Amino acid sequence: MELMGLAIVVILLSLAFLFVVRFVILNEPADARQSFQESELAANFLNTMLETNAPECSDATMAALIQDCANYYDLQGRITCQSQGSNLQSCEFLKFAHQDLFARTFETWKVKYYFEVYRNPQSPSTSRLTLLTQGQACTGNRRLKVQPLPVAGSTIYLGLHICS
Amino acid sequence: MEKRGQMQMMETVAILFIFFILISLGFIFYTQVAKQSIATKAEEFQDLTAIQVAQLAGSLPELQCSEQNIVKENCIDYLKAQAAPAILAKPEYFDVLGYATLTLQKIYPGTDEIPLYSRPLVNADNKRASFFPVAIFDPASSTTAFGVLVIEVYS
Amino acid sequence: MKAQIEVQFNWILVLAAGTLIFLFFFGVVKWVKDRAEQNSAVTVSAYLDALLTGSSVARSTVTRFQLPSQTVHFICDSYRVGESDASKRIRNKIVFAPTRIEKGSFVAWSEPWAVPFRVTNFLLLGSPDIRYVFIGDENDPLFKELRAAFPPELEPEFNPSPFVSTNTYKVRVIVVNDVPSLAVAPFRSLASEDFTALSLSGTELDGSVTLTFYQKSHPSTAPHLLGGQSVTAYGKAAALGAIFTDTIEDYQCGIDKALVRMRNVAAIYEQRAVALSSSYAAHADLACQTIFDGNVFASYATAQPFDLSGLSTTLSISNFDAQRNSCALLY
Repeated sequence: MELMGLAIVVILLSLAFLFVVRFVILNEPADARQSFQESELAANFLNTMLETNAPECSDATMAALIQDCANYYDLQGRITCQSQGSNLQSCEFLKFAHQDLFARTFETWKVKYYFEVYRNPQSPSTSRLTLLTQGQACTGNRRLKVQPLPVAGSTIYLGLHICS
Repeated sequence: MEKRGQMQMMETVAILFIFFILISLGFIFYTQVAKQSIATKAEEFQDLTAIQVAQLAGSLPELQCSEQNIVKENCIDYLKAQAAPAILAKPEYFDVLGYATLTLQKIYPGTDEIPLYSRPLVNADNKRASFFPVAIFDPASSTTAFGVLVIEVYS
Repeated sequence: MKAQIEVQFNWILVLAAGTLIFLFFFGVVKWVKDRAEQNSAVTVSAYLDALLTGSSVARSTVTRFQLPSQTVHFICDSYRVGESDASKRIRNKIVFAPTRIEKGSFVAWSEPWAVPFRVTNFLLLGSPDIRYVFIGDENDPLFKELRAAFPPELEPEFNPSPFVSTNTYKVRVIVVNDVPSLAVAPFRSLASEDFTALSLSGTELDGSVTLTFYQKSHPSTAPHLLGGQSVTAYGKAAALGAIFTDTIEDYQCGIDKALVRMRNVAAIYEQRAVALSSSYAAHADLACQTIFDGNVFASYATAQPFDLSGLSTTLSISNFDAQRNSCALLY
């Protein structure tokens, strides 16, 4: 009888041991810092980028350049910028400026990202107009921050995806 | 009869002995698990410390852009940043920022790097680096540059 | 006979073994309980630290939070959880708190201190289990301002009548523009540090206010208020900080840290002003250069709370001039 009791105790202890191994030892700890940084990175990057003044374009802000590019996309923008000895329209300038900006930030930090500036179609039959893209589209999980920007008669959106 | 009684006694003692051995084994196992749990919690607290330093650095009046005490979020005053290193090197700021290095990097237009605060921990076990895009506002020219606040926390 | 002895011996053995087993498990349970209490104290301490940091970063916010029911003792620049001997430094945060908060119920009020440039956030810690009683003239502007500003989460009382004990473990009486002349007898059983009073004299919280701290006499003596040590405060946060600290020493401890911080922030603004002055000189902008040449910030290096009213006015006027002339602002 005592032996049976002992056997039950051993079985119970083994079960408890299994539970502890599964839910305590093998449990992955939450990475609070990584999560916090990723959520701050996307939002802060877009807000900061939009406020930045471009001395090549008479100190116009990036937001103003993007709006100009969107409003006059057929002309590649009306604001002219002086960059590396040549005149560039705002859309062209933005491509180079963003390439440089992302190279010095996300690519240096080895953070996968995808950035796009687009306008949603006025009617369902028209496709979305993408004004600018940078990086590679995320395949798995991602954090997305979308910043709307008003333009003449509509709204354009800046989307920054941080791939996990 | 005597022998049977003695046998019974021995059996009881043996069972109790095994029982206590099992309890002891369980106890040793529990303390090992508790040790690991404490180590995980310690790492979690270190992560919280890194987040705390990031929050505190971003909210320092010594660096923040403000006009008539209306604070501009996510913005560092360029002239304050140039004056800050000498002040942040004072001992009272160790209580604020701890073992960490704070560097302000100007990315566009032009490049610049201002080491705002430097108190690395010699022979640190861990170093956690975080990057926060910030606007760098120059009140002299009223222009804003794109910058990154690099925060490295040691533990 | 032998069988009888054996049976008796058997029972003794069973009793002994049973006692040993009982003691063993009792020891284990006590050990686990002590470890759990220590663990709880460490956890409370860590979470309190994080909550205090979060509250101090946010501006003008009131946060109510509940921690495990432990008493937290505050002494000048540190705090201690429960019966733990180890105290934890409050470090960078400027906290105004009573000598202890029981039952784990906290209200954290963060208020920026500006002189007139923003120096730091003061963290005012209280508890709804502490009784905050305000006594003053309902038409007094300072009384009205306090009534509007004080968070309802702390369940303050304004001119309660009759003023009797409600069995709270701590009572803080704030008398506005008057000398405290209240009946202390109903609170005889409370310790000196658990029944304290503050007299606030001034016209507005944002200006200069005279603070006078009082404490109840020892429970063994006839109940009356002792003390009467005064100090000047400048700024809303500094005046409110006095409401939350029980003693003038604890209050001064927080203010001294704030003054050190103020001097550092002023030094940075001073260098910023010098750089801007040079920039305006280079652009031949005489109007702006004159404003930034004033160097008001230098006076903050040695300023005490009673100096701040004058300095603050001078700086505000200069800042307004800068704004009028479309210059960069001084602060």
